[in-house]
Amino acid sequence: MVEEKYLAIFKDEATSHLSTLERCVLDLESKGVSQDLIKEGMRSAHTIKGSARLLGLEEIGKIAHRIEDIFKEIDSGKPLTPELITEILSGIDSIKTLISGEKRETKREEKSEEESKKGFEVLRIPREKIEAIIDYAGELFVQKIKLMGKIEAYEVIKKELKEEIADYLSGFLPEDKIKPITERISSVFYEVTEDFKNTYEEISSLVEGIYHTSLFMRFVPFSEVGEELRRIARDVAEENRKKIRFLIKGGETELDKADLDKVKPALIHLIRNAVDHGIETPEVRRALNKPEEGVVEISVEMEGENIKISVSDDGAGISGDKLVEKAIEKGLIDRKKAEQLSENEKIAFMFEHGISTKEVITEISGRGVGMDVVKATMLEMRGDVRVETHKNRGTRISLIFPRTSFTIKGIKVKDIEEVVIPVSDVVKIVRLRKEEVIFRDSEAFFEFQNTLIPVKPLAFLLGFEDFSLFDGKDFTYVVILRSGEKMFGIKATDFTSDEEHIIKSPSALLEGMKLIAGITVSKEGLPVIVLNTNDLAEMFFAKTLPQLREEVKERKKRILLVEDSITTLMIEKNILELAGFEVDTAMHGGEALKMLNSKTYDLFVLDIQMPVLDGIELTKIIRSTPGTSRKPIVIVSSITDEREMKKAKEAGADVYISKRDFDKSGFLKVVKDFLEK
Amino acid sequence: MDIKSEIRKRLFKALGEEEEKYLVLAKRKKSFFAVPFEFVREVIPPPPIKTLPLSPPFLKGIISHLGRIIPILEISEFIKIDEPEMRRVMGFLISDGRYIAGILINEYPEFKKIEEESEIFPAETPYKENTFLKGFVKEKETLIPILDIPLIFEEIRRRIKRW
Repeated sequence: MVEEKYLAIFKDEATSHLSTLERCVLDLESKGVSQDLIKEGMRSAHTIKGSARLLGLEEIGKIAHRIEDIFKEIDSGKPLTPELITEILSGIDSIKTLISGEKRETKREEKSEEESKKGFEVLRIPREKIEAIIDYAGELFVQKIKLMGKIEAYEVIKKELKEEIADYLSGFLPEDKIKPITERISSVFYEVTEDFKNTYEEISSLVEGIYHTSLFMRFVPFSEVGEELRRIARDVAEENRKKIRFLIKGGETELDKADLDKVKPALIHLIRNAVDHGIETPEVRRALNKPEEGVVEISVEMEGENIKISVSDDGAGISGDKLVEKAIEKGLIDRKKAEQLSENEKIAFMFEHGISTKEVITEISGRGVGMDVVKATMLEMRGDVRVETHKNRGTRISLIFPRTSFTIKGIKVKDIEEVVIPVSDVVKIVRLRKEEVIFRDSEAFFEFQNTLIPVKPLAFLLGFEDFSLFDGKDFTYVVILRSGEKMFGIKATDFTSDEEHIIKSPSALLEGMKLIAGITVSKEGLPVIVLNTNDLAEMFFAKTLPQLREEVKERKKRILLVEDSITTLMIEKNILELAGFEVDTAMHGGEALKMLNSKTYDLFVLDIQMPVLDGIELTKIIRSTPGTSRKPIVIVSSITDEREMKKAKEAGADVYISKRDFDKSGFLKVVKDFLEK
Repeated sequence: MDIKSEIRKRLFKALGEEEEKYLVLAKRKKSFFAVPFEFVREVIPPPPIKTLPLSPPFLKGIISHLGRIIPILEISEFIKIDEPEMRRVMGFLISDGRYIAGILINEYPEFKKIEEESEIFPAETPYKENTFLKGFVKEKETLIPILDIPLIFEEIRRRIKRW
């Protein structure tokens, strides 16, 4: 019985050597026999054999021994035939199967693949430890941003203090005496803030260094996946009796392992398609005056903030007409409409489920399952797929997606709720005047670059009931967003210029939750959502305003109850909860203000006399805040003074109930009447 | 497994105790509930919670804690329990090694060893509110429900996929 700890070590070691073996044999096949490659391969086979035998894994030992023998034979001058290559590759596959069968997959095994890079010492660190370091480093980065906010606030205080002191002194000192005093204050503040700034700059560069280094711990060169894809291409070519040359460009580009894992299945599909659908048989290629050997190339490059991975071939190209025929067969489009489609629109059918132009359905591809998955993967990764194809010249399919889990450039957009939108999804921010809005079937549009763009309030899309396009003003701001081919506008009451935001994962438990691409942390230390523009677009176009309005109304009405007497608070809360309302409570106006920033309420029940911020002041704030300005406010107070009651009404309260005359049913009726309006 | 759990496991081993025999008893207003100690990560001060737009009812929001974003669950969606008293609240972080989440409680939780006399009753009753319970523990003649944390996490994943 093999001890588990040794087995784990063997698996790590063998996986690494198998990957070397695979690379060697594929290089021998494509580049020709080289002593270095033979020796490298032989060494790897020999090591696997030795370790396997030591652990009593006889079957693995036997296969490794045979592979080593083949390398020896080639070394002694035996020609490297396709049969021998297939034998080695089959041997590698058998060892892989045997290894995975020894014990079910563990996290340690995932590591081995990821860290099998040769040429330097590899330290195996569990993924969760790396994630923890990245999290802490991310938090340091957030603290750095918060510190900058504090320095900025300090600058404002300096200016205000200088003005206040000058104002105060002007009462009893002539102007020429005041100036030196305020200048001195300025100079002291300047020295202190400069000192702060210098320290900040130093800390800042250290923090950025730690953060970026920690992020790059998760990076692996693309070539690790590239080699695996080369093997797949080779196998598919052999099975279809095609000749190919497989090229990898930019294999040294390092990508986040998480991104690579997500995109890998899509790449496998594209490679299979390129060889099976794209590259022609040698006979056909000869007839077309093409070299017998087709070229399949995979390239990786950065395109701005995005990663672009392209799979190209010099094969037959994709026929838009064939795709349309299949689409008509499947009932996706009628012939009349199909005749009006452009070539690009025809090609777009390849991403529909069940569409394939392959005449013969093989084990490899042609089932029409896959390209829709490629598209879905890209949507999930907030990316895009581009296709360029030319008859008999080939096809290039590019997957473009943003780098994840880093900092992104985003703008903060507010419409009741504040969210971050990646700059890469923003087309433009425009100022929209009321008269520019065109209403069609209760939907709002405006003209932008000769196109009608639909617009909806962000608050409405986020589930708030109190939404409006203009909030009583003559104009509003509209952020025009792009998702794939679609453009749409969201109304915002406020927005910031683009800033760098640290993107954190919204926790594995919430993975897949709609609308959330990630979470960032504000200068105040609060989480802020980074919107997934594709999800937002889906919601935008799927649901019309009235439909959403109905959905929003289905939720429980939420009331904020602000009262400093715990007895009154509990009585009122009990009455409201028993009537089916959701009730949040605050003990004074200050606490209530904080709650207003994080939630939306349908009605407010306020006391007047409270510490920190009284009910009258709170009423004024509620009335002057866009999201709450039209919400009902019920005052329940023990003050019976007419003047106070008048003050409350003037501040914006809708109804005033005296605690002396308080009765449960009357109170409930008032609340219900307002909420049903 | 995170570092804290590893240290804790070693500590228990050194003390000759079994971690599985301990429960953490938490209080929410007047209700009590228990969580097997192995799933408890830490108790944290009242966190500022950010609600998520269009989120399911079992999700109160998220918090940022030491660089991690942690979802805060509304546990009353899974067991019959009081809503927390929002003025005196603290977070209670639970994890099964794969997922981590917080639950709001009102008092610092107690640590309890399961003695033989505080026998655990399996929660095999047909009532809906017992679905996410591992059983009950007897504490001062009161039966306190023990949460089945892996099952709750599994249910959350299921509901999120559907949401």
